[in-house]
Amino acid sequence: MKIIVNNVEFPFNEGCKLLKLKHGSSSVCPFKEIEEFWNDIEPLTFREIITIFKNVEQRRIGLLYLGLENLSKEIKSTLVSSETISKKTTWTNKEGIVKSVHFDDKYELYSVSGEELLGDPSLTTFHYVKFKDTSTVREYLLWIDYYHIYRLKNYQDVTAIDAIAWTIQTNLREGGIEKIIRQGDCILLMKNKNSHIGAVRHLTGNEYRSLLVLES
Amino acid sequence: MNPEKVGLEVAVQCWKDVKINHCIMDFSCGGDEMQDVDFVFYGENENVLPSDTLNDFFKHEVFEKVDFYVNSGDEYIGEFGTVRIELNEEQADFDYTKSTTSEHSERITESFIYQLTDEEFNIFRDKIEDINGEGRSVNFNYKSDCIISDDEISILEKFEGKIIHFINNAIIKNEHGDPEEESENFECDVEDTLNTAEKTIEILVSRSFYYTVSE
Repeated sequence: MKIIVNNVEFPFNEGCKLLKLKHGSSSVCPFKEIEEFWNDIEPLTFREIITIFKNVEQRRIGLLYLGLENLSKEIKSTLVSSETISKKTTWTNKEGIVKSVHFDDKYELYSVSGEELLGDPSLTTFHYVKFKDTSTVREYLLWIDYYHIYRLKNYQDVTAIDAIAWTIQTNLREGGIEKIIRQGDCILLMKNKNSHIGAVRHLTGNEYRSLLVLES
Repeated sequence: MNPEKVGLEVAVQCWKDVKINHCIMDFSCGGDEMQDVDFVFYGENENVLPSDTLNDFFKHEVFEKVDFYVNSGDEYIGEFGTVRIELNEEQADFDYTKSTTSEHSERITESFIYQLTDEEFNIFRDKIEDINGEGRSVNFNYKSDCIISDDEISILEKFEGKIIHFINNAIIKNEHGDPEEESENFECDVEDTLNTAEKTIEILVSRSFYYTVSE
């Protein structure tokens, strides 16, 4: 037997565990064929998703239903750095009125061991930056290459802001950006008078901290 | 000699001096580019005569005097053939005669009614939204999450073999040219075309056909 979830095929046992993850632990069994043992099924864990599913489509569906909240809960991560940027911006409300809004933009950098994440103690430590979408308040996690940022910072400690800045790349040389506007994954960089095109590089923490003027 | 500097007068004189009767240029083009061309100069007795000067002259001049259609598009792939070049002594110029064969690839789609078995019909009715694929494999898209039993897996595997055989052997009418190898694909909107009374589905089979047109 096999189970189809979101139009992707899964082996029966893993498919049952995925259905439990999708529908929730206290849910009603969606199929009569597995009603008898529905309550005994344990939902898939992050480690199972990563280690059992070699097919990226299967892994994608597994992670989709695991969700970031469960992922954060499941893996024991350590807070490395936390920084909040307070900002004032203008939003247009439902009535079409432009309002001035103050908000705190919190970024957290976490580390998680290779053993914890993938069950392999020989692996390096992984890092991710956690932040909220300022308009939807939805949380996001982005994996980052801590050691790359560490080298770019001449071997100084990496902060959460360095990490989020590193996720953005530009070919504008440092000193050439007037301001940064961010709407989710869409980043707009405005050039200043001294702007020159150079090699593609990552934004620095200082640039992100001082030049980001608007987020939505 | 610099090829840019070979003029018509020099070329005509060179043609006469070397005693050339005619020249044949082979060409092939398509995919937005012209392949390397080749000029062969023949004497009165069809003997091949060398001439770097004329070679340099014609490799520019022929594109001024003859139209070649290099841009592929829609069904048109490209063309190949020859250009015969002869001296027009009265006008002290050359005459160009193009013989060409153009290549085309036409994709034809035809609808077929496919008869399902009772078991296949039950699975299609309950679980399959649409299917598609080519001459080697079949993709099933499901209506929603579901469990496929071992019997159903076996039925779908047999169906896969049968439909691949059907697609590869489907005779498409109104075609002209030769069927291109492994060009078949198919699609079937099961939800829209499933005939519950007849237990059939409607399958759209597409295949590419290659043909040429000579001028």
